[in-house]
Amino acid sequence: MNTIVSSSSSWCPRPVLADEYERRVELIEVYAADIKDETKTAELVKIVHQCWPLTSLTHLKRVKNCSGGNSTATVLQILLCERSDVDACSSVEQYIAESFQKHSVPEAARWLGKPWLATVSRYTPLTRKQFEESSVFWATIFHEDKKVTKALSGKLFSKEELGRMSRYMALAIAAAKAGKRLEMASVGAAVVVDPGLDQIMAVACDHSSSSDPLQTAVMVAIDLVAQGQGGGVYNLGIQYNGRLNQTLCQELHNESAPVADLRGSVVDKVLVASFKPETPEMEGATPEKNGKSVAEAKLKTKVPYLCTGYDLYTTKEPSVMCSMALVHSRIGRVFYDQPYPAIGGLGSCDKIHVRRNLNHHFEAYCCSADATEMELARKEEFDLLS
Amino acid sequence: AAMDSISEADKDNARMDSALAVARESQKRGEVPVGCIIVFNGEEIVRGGNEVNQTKNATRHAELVALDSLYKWCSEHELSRERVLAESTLFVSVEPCIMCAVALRLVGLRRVVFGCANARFGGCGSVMDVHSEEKRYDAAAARLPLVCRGGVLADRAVELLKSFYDGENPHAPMAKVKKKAGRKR
Ligand SMILES: [Zn+2]
Ligand SMILES: [Zn+2]
Repeated sequence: MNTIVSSSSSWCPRPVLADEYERRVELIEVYAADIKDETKTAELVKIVHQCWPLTSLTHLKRVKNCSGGNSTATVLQILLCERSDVDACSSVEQYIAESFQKHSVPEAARWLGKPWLATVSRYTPLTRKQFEESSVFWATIFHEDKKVTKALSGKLFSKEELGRMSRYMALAIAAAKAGKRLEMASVGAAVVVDPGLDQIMAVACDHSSSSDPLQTAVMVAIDLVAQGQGGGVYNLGIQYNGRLNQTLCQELHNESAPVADLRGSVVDKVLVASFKPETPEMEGATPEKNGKSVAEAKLKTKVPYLCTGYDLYTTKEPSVMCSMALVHSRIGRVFYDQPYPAIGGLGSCDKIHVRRNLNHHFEAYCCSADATEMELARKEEFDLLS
Repeated sequence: AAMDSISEADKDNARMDSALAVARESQKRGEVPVGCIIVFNGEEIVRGGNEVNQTKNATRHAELVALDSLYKWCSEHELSRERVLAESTLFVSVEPCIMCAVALRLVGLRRVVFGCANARFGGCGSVMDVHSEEKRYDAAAARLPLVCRGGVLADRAVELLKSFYDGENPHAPMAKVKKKAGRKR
């Protein structure tokens, strides 16, 4: 269980997060002032909030502590308004005084020092890195998403999980090689796994060709899962399944020793699980006339819905079309080996899995060994296309 | 010229009427009511309705179902798929989703007429501009853009979807979806 694929030590899925997780700090200018009369701080905060709610800057603390330059004394500084709030014709002091006047608290102006321009971070920090960057400029509030932090630092998955995952990816890569040997259209293969049961639900090669570019590995995998649930439409033929199995086994046997694990434990399951779908418990059972017991039986049998909660391992980043197919199929997580710069939908051309307006989102991880390798793949891709 | 355009619109309406009939058939089978027909040489050659629940395959949207029928039709009539697709028009009751829009471009279809907009998944202007974008479909996958006309009998497509989602779909935990569909156009 410890050494699975030769490169497993470096095998580390990197999360593909929405763009806002990756952006550098962007700055915006705001007016701030020292609080001269600290006994009025609470009152000031209230008044300033009423005058300038700063609803887009709620990640910034309204008041921050600033140690004075010459002594140990500290000064409190308060955020007032955005630079753009101040209308062009008046001075800042005048504008602020007028605003306080409007809110019937003209005296508040006297509790503050001279307003000055501060640069602060425009966006709510989503990662620890962004939080740290933002904090350099102004005291920042950070609601840390522990999962994101772990994922970004490569600590989301345990050793055991990584071992399992890298084996599934190795299987996908072997299936892609098998597909190539069978002279199937092009490149790529996909493996669907139920991570809860640690069970393979489908192994699919790329069937797309110039006459039907739609039967990609992902689309075939989705249909194989459907077949396992008593549905499905693609007529892939028993012959194909047999040949793929055979070639896949050969492929796995050719691999060096560390993949041995795959041969024993995984391939047998592949043969059973993906190509001879097991009939769900429900069908065999004869439900009692009593409606209640039928309902109970239904509850007990976890009827799978499409690819809900499943993982997909694929050698290539799914295209925009396939990514959307995975949204429709309610996939849980997608692990891809190589990015697909020209048409990839999970990081390269788009991030379909995190698009706001879509009704289902999933996690995507890029697993290629390192950035240099990614660059190389990118280059190859373009060479192929040009 | 004005007369010509009116009669073209009437023709599109009549085609959309057929697509809506396919959508209603889908609904009778317990599917999301989306339907389409493909017209080649001025004649309807194939139709397709949503088959997601029946096949347990979430990619079996009306458009992809119709494409499979078109392939069959082409081999029966010994015509090249490429030619037929390039000269056909797809009439679909709801704006094609992102997946279908890419698929239609990949197979080389050129013209789409749709009913109501699809605010949740639409790939022809609502969520993404798959139909006209160049960058994602360059080189190997490159085909010409899809020429789209939307809003044909949109109200009727919306009605149909509403009646479906109000009646609750027992198979899909996604009910609220297309409430806003169609408003955009
Ligand atoms: Zn694809
Ligand atoms: Zn679609």
